[in-house]
Amino acid sequence: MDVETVRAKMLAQVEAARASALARAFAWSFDIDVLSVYVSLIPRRRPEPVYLLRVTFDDFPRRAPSYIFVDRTTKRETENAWPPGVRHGGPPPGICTPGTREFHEHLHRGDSQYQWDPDRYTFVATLAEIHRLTERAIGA
Amino acid sequence: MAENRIEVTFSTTAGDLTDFFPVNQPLHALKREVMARLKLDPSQADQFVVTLAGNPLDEGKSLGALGVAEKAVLVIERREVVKI
Repeated sequence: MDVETVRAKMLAQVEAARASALARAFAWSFDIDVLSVYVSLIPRRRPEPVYLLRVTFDDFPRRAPSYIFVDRTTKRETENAWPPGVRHGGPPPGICTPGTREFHEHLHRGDSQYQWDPDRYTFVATLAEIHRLTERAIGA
Repeated sequence: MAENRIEVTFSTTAGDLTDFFPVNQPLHALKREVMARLKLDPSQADQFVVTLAGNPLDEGKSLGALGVAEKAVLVIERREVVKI
């Protein structure tokens, strides 16, 4: 699939998330860079700590997007960018929740219960789960 | 006498529902109604909580008793996070 088609499908996912009331409830903002989207995850019950999630849609929807926490300033992958207890496996490290590429292709590869399905594991649903997982990890 | 209602949005990963809801009805009843209208199985309602600004609400209380403001966004979310 060509890049423009993949990007259009990514933008549709981002627009659906932006239009959802969940975006207001979780205070998400979306920063798009070609085939990646950066989302700041701010705990709902306190202002800190803030984590930056990079979601990469290359080869979407054939493959699940990749969800990786990155440094808020440099946007580089570092171990310190991850909430405690959320980083699983590796390389590559991943978030152990359905909807992420790392879950379907590495952490639960071949698990018939959780086959990748772009209609089931939407961006907004996966993002909400990761946000809640992050809050749980930091006790917020 | 007309029932007192306020406009509230219930948000889920399956979609949103904005409507005028009665302020005196227990939240657990509203949750079941909203889930049914969003085509979510209301028999699974106990697996979900209603939160406001990340705080789970007492579903035995009404919107009025909880002090939920007009145009508030309430999130219906799973009691437990999906972490396999």
